Amino acid sequence: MADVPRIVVALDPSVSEASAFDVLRYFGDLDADLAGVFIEDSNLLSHARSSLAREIDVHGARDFAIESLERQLHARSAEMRRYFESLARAMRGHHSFHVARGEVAAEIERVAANCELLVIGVARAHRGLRARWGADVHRLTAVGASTTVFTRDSRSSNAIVTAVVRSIEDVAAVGPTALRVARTSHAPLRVLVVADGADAIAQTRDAIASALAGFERAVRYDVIADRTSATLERAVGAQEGCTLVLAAGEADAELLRSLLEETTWNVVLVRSAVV
Amino acid sequence: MADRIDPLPADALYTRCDPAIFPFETTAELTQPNEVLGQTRALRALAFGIDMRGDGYNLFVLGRPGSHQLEIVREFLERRVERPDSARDWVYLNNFDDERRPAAASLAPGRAIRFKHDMAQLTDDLRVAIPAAFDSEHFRNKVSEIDRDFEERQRVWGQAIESEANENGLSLAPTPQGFVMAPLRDGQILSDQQFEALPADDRQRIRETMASLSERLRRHVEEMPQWHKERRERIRSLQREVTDSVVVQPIEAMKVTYGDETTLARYLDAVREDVLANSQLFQASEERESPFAMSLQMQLRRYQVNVLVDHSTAATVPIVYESNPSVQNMLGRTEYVAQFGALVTDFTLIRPGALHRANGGYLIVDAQRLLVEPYAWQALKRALFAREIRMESLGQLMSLVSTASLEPDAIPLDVKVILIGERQVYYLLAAFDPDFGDLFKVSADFEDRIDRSVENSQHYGAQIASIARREKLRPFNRAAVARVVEHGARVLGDAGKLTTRLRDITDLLRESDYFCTQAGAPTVDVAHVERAITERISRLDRLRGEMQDEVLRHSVLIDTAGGVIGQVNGLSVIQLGEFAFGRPSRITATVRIGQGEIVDIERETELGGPIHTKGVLILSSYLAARYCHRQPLSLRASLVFEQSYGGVEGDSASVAETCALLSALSNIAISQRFAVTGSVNQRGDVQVIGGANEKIEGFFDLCKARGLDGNGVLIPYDNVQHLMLRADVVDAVRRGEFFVYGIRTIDEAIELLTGLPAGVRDANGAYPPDSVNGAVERALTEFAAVRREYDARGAAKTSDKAAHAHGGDRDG
Repeated sequence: MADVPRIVVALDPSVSEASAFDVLRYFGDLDADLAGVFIEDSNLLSHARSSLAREIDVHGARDFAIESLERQLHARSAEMRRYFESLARAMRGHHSFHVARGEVAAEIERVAANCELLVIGVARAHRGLRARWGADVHRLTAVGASTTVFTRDSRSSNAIVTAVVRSIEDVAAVGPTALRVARTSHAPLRVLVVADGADAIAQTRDAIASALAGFERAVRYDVIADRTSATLERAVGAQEGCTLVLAAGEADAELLRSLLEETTWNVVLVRSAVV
Repeated sequence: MADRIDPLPADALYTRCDPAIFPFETTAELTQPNEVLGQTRALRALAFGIDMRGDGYNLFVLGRPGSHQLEIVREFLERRVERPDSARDWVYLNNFDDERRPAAASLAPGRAIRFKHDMAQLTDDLRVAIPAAFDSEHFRNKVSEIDRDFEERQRVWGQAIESEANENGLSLAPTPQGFVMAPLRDGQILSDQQFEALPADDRQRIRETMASLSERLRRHVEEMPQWHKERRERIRSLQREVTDSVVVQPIEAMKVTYGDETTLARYLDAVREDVLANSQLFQASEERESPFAMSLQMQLRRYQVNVLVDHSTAATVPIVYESNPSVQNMLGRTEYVAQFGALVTDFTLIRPGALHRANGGYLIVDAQRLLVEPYAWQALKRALFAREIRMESLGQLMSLVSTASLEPDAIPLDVKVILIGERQVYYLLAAFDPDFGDLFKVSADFEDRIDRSVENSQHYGAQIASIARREKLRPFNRAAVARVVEHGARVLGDAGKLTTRLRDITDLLRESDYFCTQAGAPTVDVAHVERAITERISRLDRLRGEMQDEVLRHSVLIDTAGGVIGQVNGLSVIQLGEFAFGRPSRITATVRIGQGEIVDIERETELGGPIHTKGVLILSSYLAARYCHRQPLSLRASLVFEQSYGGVEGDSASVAETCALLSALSNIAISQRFAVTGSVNQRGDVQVIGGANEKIEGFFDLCKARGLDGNGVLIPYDNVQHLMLRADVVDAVRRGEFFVYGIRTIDEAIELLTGLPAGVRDANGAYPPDSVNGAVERALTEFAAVRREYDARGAAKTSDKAAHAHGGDRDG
């Protein structure tokens, strides 16, 4: 980890609420370089270049002119900048904000190089359409940041924090991050221990309990059979708001894709804790 | 000559109070409660007014200021009234239908405070219970269920139309404002050239599909607010359900507790409804100090109880004295607080007035203070007529305040108002305010004086003991008490009466105590009382000293020896606030032939008041009636108060003026060793005047300063009963150095002043020639003869002129 950690926050036009930036509060005590990026989606721009493209909104359907899109992007980026800077001023360290234009996943890969913490804004459901990240999510899991936060909006920020641990190795990454998020968001904390043999369960549970020692509230522990999206959904229940903290692995792209498509949770993928 | 007039004996000049009549050595032995002296009539009226029910039986207590009416009325009420249930507690509550019109509610005595605490407890409990209910797994699951339904509905719809678009070769993507749709081929948006290169059928199909999907998307976008609304409605309904499960039990419990207060039962139902509609108010975190959180806290005030009147600790029905009876202090007021730069108010900022506090009991108000407060008298009358307290701000009445305010419910009024004021105020109100008689039907007229009987003197002693005890003064021994009783008579200027104006007595007791303390004595003695009286006079008599100095230095001419024709010493009283003193004045008379006019120079110069003028006219009538039965009063006389540059009022100088006139007519000198006071009637009788003590002492002081030389004062005989002269005057009389005469007639006065007999008509109707009256009559007869002669000459001249004129006419 660098002496001064680097935090990158990336949003694109599909994220309608600037409050997705709110997760920065979890890391407000870090003396970090903070970079905000608003990515003007080239996919949208390519739509706008087609004279056949039609934009449909509450006012009706009309030609999707590039000038109109430019105006919308400009307004949205200005809004994001204001909100980002209002948060960043309350934090320590330097901060900057810029607007990039291109394919979203590629731009995120570019701006996120060498960052310790990557925050990616993800729309809750894209107004019913599938989440943007379907095919590209594996690229984001491989960015290499210590921690990647897929944040939805403020509704998810203060909800229960659920840490998922499979092994003692996971505890070092997941434990401190889950503790930090729960404390800073004044949220209850729950631990899901993935079954991997009776002895391992007990050891893992003891390890995570030790890592969470000092947490001000009671922590609930449960055991789950595996770490699939369906299992996690069942275990977490129908909680509307949840911040799921889990260790990142090479094979996590599919889990992440389904979590982003099927739930509205914040997802925190941790390689190593940024504390 | 009239019977010889002897000077009054010293004992007649001061009526002592015998200390032996008091059954105690010092006032410390008296422990009975305060007695009200000599106010039987007023107390009977008070009792009647208090017991009398019905509209308008309020009371007006009349009396001189300083008579302790307030204390007497208060003590009377406290002794008389017991604790009935008529006095109710009153509260103001939020009106959930219209917050500008707070609701009033009454409770049994002592229950308002309890209700306030119960409501505060309810609010505190709900602030814990409601967030807990909303934090419960049950509620969260229910909310999630609703959200998932909503999102699932959206997702199903969105993915269906997205799939349909993709199947038809169209791309569908969200934009900041809505959706964008464009033809797609191999994952790329078709350029215009690529699209034009498509077969016509494909282009037409794509266009039709885009049109169809666009229309469905537009309708979907239009429906979205309705979907959101449905979701919000479901969540709101769930919140009501969860909140009600928490609220219903404590509210119902309170309804049982306060079930006999029907207003409160309705209010509690309204509270329940309001909590259900505003459950978010109970979820504001205490950790947050943002303006938003503070605003929520402010909104929770709506469940507070504003206790306006609380009788939980009252031993009797309310007895309230309002010392500053402004409109606001009488009717209550609404306060404001600054919030985000604006002045705001609510029902918790309503403050009670004296009428609220006295409701169910008695309100005592000083009438004069009430009348000088703008709108206060009108406001009180309105409240009494309407039998309700309707809060009206003076600022709003006068359109001075434009900020939003409250119109609280009127509170039913059942109060007996007792106004305390001077008689003049009572008579003015009775004469000029037609409402007064309707509202204040009972008057309690307090006596200013009581008879100085032995029994009353003893009661006076007990009163002195009470005051000494109340004021925490040292005990007074019986001689000191007797001296205070004597002072009570002197204050009135009447040896046979005692003042009931306790302020004077209380002040004297306090000041006597002061000198006692100075002397280090354990008990107040007569010397301390004497010292207090002397010191008080000394503090006030600077002007008296200056005036006497002017006489002694002959700047003001007053003779106190020898005899002068047509000149007499009169006496007047100068009142300076609480202090009065006598002042000698030289009165002179001149006479000449005339037609019966007596010129009052004071009147001619507009320095004389109407009563003085009346006195002069009476004396002229007396002269004519006594001396001019058979002849016209052929006199022109002038009377004047020499060196008097201020006004002269009253008829107490008319005896002196008559004597000066008789002296001038008879050409007989009047002894200047004497001064005279008294008024005369047409028959020559001398009538009583005021200020006899001060007048005698005033002349005494002057004569003493020059050296007493058989000086004295003539006063009306009927004033002798009033004499309470200073000890030094009495001592001088006792030593034969100064004299006081009580006279009944002008004849007695003239004999004392001239040393000659006045004279009585003989059988022929003539006065003895060597008497004063004989000389007067002789002078008037001469004046009449001269005048007749003069008139005859004047008539002859007139007749000759007429004859000449007539003859001339005829000749001509």
